[in-house]
Amino acid sequence: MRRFGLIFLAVAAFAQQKTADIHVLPVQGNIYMLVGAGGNIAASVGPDGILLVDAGTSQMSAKVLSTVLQLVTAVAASPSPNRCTGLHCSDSPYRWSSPSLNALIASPAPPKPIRYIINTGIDPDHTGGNEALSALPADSKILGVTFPPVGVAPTATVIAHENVLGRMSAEINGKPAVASGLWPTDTYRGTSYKLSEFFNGEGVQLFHEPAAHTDGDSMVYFRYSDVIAAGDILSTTSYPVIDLAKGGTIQGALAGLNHILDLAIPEFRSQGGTLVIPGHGRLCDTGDVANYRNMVAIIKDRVEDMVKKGMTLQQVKAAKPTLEYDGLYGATTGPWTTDMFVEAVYKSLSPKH
Amino acid sequence: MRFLHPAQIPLLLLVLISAVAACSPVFGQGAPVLELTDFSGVWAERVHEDSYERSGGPPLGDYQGIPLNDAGRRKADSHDHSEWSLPEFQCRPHSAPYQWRALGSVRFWNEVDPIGRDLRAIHVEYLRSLDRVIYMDGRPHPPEYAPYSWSGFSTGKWEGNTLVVDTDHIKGSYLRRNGASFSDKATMREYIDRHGEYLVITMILTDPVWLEEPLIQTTNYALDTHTALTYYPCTVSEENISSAVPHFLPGTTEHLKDAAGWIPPEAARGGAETTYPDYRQKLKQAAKQ
Repeated sequence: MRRFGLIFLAVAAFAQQKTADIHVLPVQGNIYMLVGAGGNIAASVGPDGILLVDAGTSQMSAKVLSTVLQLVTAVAASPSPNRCTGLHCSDSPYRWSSPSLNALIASPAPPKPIRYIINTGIDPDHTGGNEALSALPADSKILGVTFPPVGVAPTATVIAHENVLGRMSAEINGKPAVASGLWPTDTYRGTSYKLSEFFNGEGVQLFHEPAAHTDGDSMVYFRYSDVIAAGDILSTTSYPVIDLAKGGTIQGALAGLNHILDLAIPEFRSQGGTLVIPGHGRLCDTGDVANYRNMVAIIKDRVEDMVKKGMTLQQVKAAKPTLEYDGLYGATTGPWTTDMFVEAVYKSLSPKH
Repeated sequence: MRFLHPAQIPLLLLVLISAVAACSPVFGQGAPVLELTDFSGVWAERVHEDSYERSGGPPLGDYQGIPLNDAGRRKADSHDHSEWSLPEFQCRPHSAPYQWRALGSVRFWNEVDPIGRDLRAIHVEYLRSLDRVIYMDGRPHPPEYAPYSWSGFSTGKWEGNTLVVDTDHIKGSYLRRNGASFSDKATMREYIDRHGEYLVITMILTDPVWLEEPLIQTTNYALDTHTALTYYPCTVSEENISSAVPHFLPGTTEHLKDAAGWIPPEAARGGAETTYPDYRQKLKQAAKQ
């Protein structure tokens, strides 16, 4: 009960809620941003249940599940919306049975389950939780509530671009590259894909970015909440991660960022309005994406100019084409260093590649 | 009954005033936190600080007085003013660190709890910018993953009659309209003082990415009871706008060499050294040699 109370407070106060290592940031409309599970997760939470954009790492699945179930209980499982001020209810002549009192005394409905998981890409920090979050044992009990509720199919639909499935299921030494439990159950192959019906009262649209981080990136656009989950096309903590081996390019990364800016409409003066959840880092809007896009475009132009002049990769690195941005996005250690980024840009633009 | 001698009355009054003052939150040390200075109203800029750069804009390549480091200098040098034609930047407002030096008036107003009469926040509005909120209710700053804005997230406290404002979560933007910039990692402290009908804002901007020392500057305003902020709309134009991001490549910045005109080229490059008064003496000595 105490935990329920906390989450109610957090949602009401429009503040972030910490559950273990998962932080919840209410974004706008139905959408919440979950931070700390690997890649950022966007969650649509409402009367239809839960839709997750990305699933975090496998190690964080239990915490992700616990967090989203608390969220859906707090947001959508209350007996009825409370539109009363004190006990004065315009929509009820009966003081003693007003929605206000019902909200206090009634038990919450069982939380609706995770219905969809959409993968923005193939990486394990975005897909590692697919199996655990989509295929739960029928008798699972979380916070004392049977999950999933009786009569609801026990698996969520996992959607991704077909290139994600292709790369996950590709055989390496006689075995699939990724265990089948993590594969998407449904794929699309066009430039965009729409869920066939509203979810939590809004349309959900996917856009394929054909050669950005990889060749299987999707952006997810919540059309009423006006939120874009950008996956690894956008990060505020690093240079774009360009996986050349999986079809990524700097040109595609830039095209993806420009696509976000095409879709987004600021509320006022390049701020607010459409909000963008990056694959990693903080919640963004038009101004942030424009700043990041400019950085990517400037570095691409510099390296392209050096490639045209016939400079070698070592010469390009020595010229420090990223100098002023290293303090914001650079790294000398870890999975994606500045050197690796410059090399990926160079190879993307080099005719020999 | 014993009466005071008339000559003792001023002394008694002084003692009484001192006692009242010691108990008063306005004058007493360690007084409870209260709203001590009211900034409410419209204030007009004076434009006497660095005025040559503030209306028409600064010369390209003039970074004097800004403690840029090498990375900040590279950022500034690559600036192409056509950047303002980008659809996302055509309506970009001044950010909080630049705003005090921008043209146009500023309006302060207090947001007060109607029951408890507590000062919840002080709002600051500028001609072509956004409502900036300075929270006075003791709330913490948001976590790193919360969104950033052009105004940033500000909290205020009183130090005597001075309003001290701490700001973070600011979107990176320009410090001077020629490309000298601060990054998303910058934080800002402001001291806001009212001296009768004059306002003094002392800004200290710290940026570990593009500044080698904090940038400190003061700006003055005067109370103006006969003006108001006007509607300042902005419409993005996309006709004949290239989709490319305008900038200058390293090595193609010849145009910056003489852009600063009368300013010695080495001073125009900026840096912490150029922010101190004794740098002028150094320049004079160098010119003699």
